[in-house]
This record gives sequence, structure tokens and C-alpha cells, in this order.
Amino acid sequence: MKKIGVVDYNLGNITSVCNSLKHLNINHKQVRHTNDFDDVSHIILPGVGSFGVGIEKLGKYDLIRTLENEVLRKGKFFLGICLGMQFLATTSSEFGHFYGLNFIPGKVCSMATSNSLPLPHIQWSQATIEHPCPIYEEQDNNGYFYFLHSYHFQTDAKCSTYAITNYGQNYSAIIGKDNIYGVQFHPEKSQLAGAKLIRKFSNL
Amino acid sequence: MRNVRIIPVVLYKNARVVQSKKFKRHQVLGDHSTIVNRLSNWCSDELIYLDISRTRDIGLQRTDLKNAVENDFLSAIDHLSKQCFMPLSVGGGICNLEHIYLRLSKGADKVCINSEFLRNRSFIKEASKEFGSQCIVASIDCAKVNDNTWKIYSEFGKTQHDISPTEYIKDLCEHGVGEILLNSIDRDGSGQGMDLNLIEEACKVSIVPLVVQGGVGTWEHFSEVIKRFPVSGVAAANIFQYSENSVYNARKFLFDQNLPVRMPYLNEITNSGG
Repeated sequence: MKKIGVVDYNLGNITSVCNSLKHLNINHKQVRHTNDFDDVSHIILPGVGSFGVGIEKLGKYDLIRTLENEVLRKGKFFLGICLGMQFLATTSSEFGHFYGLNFIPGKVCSMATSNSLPLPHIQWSQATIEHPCPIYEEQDNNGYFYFLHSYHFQTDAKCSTYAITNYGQNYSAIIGKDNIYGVQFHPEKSQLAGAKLIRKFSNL
Repeated sequence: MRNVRIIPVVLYKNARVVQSKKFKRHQVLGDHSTIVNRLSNWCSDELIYLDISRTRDIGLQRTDLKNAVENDFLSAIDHLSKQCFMPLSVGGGICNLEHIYLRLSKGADKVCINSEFLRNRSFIKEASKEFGSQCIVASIDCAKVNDNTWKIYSEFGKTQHDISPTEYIKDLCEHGVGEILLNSIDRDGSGQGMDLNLIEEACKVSIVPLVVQGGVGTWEHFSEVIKRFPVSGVAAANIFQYSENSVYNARKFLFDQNLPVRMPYLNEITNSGG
């Protein structure tokens, strides 16, 4: 049976993600320790805050090794949200230099800013498809998602970017590779468009 | 591109939603759950939920009553976050890291902090460092003292501080807030339009996203601000409470003028839908 494990590593918007899954009647539980993942078919990694603090917490709960095992070896479906998406990268330059999970080669770096487009990028922006994406279709009225970030994921291979968004320049909105997905925005906060994406992911 | 956020502000006072006029008169509008649910379905870009309960109105500094009011607001946040699938900012009475933690853990995405930042600048840095600047919003209440001179007020507009909005905004940006919510006490509840001169001054110095509120009586009041200034959001309380589909109508009005807002649509997320 399908069941989503929401990774709880003491950082981020676990409550919002679980509220949203509960509202959509999607089978889920919170996971942290290796054996919590046994009955889970899909994994969601939420995250808000800074990269360095987050990756240290993942390490503290031995989640880097667990995720490598569950996602890369066992091939479970994975969705990283916001900072949880950025952890997929090889490195990040947010307040220092850090190594990520390296599930999708790329680097996390600061966005460009201007007077009329200040940082953080806090607004509803449209996600425009670059390649057909199994968890997202652009629907009429519905391409808008809630973004809140100052750093962005620059993928090494162009084929890893499913959808982009524009805030002065183009940035990755949805990235992915095989069973792995990452979204820069917050689907759990994005009303109907977000609910559809979460539903599609849970049906993979 | 820029998409200006349209943000309803809901004022909570002693377990009821109220409307405010010049920070003084508060009229009860009803139960928060119904009101917030409607605002969510009408496609608000975000919701600001402020607790303006004044514990001294209820008791004589009795800590048990103070806690009762506080707990009541926390359970309201908990309840709302379960049914509102949009960003939720909450504020009112936040003085320490524990207060922030409690609100975020109940499902709030951001916290709005007003008086405590004026009392203690180092708290801004502490809060941003602990929770990330993206969830720290500085809320500023201004009132005009002369032509083109404003002062900052705290404690529900009761205490005047000898600092101008521009000086204070620079200060806040330097200390690392993620966003600024600028309110005009003079225009609060007036419906006469926003204080454009104040917004102009604020825009000159703010390097973080700026959300403005106070005085909106017609949708045109939103459009004049969005046309003239690089604001990141426009907020209002009273006007969104009066009519059916208010947020949708505001969005449609602005969208039809080719202003940078998210496309209007109504939405209802059901268990089976999505």
C-alpha cells in the first residue's frame, strides 16, 4: 500500500505538510529513524531555514545515509520541498560552503536582486514547463505557486529542470531525475495548484 | 516578474474577529473560523492574523488570564493552519524566541513583530538567526506628526518613538528582517486611501519586500499604490470583510487593469478534489 513518510528532523514546516496530506486524505506518517521508513513507499522532505543548519540536522539523525539507501538504492519516490529540494544539490554557498545529498548534480547559489524585485522572493509565481513532468501540468489559472527563498538550485544538466519560474531571471521551480523530485515553492501552501501536485506525487 | 500579493488582515481580540478604526474602536465581526475559510477559498495570497487582545482590558495583570488569552490564540492558529492552504503570518504580543517557536509549531509560516523590535534591536538578529529571516516580519505602525514627517508608534499606537520610518526601516534591514509590514495609524479604518507619501518614503530605503496597509476603501486604492510603487504586497482588513468574494473581486479588478497580480480564480480544496 502507498504511504508517504514525511521526514521530521526538527526543522521546517512538517505541520503544514502533514495538515495538507491529512486534508487530502493521503496515507502518511512522520519518519526519522531508519526503521520508520520500512512501510513507506514515498518520502517528502520539507525544509525552511538555512542550508548549513539543515544539512547538519540531517546528518545528526543519520538521515543522509538513510535517504541514500531508501531513495537511491530502493528507488522510493522522493519529493523535496524548498530547502528540502535544495539539499538534493552537490554543494551550497548559503552562508559558507556545504555539501548536499548530491542526488541531482548542481549547486545552490544566491539569486540576483533589484529594487523592484527584492529578496527574499516572496510571492506567487508561475511555474512554466520545460519538459513534460509526471507531477505537474500547467493548467488554466493554476500555474501559480507560493515561493519563499533567496537561494536557487542551478542544475548541471538542463534535462533535470522540469519547470522554471521568472523573478527578474529564470530559476528552477521543479527539478527531477528518475524517482526524485524537488520543488522550490511550497505546494502545501499553494491552494488548489499545490494540492494537485501533492496528489499527483502520491499517485506515482 | 513581480506579482503583488493581496493580503487580508484578520484582527483577533479576545476570541473574536474584530474590525478596527484608528486603533481605537473595535467592532466584533464574528467567528474566526468561518471568516478565514472564506478568505482562503477566495484565493488570498496570504493571510495576516493579528492578536490585538489587551490582557489589561480583562484582568489586573493576572497571569492566569494572560495565559488563557495567549493559549486561546495559539489554539486558533492551530485550528486555522489545518484549513488554510496559504501562507499564514501571525502577530501580537511576541517578545521572545519561545513565543516565535510556539507560533511556528502551531503551523504559522511567519511571525509579525512590532513593539519588541523597538524595545530591543538585538532581538531582530536573534530571531532571524534562530528561525531564518524569511519568517521574521517587522510590523511598523506610523502616524503623521507634520507634513511629510512621521513617527513610529508601539503598544497599539500608544507609545511614540523618536525615530522616523525611514531611519527605522534602514535599521530593520541592517539587522536582518525578511519583510516589512507598514501600517498607517491615521488611515487605519478610514477607507480614504493609503498614505502615498509614507509609502514613497519607505520604498526609497527598504531593501526587503514591503507590504503596505491602512486606509483602503475601494479597489482603486490598491491600484494607485501598485502602479506607483515597487511594493511586494498590499494588505487590508475591513474592506475584505464586507462583501462576498471580496479578495477575488479585488484581484479581478487589478488583473483587468494589467497590474502584476496572480490571475483571479475561486477555489475550494476538497478531500476528493485536487
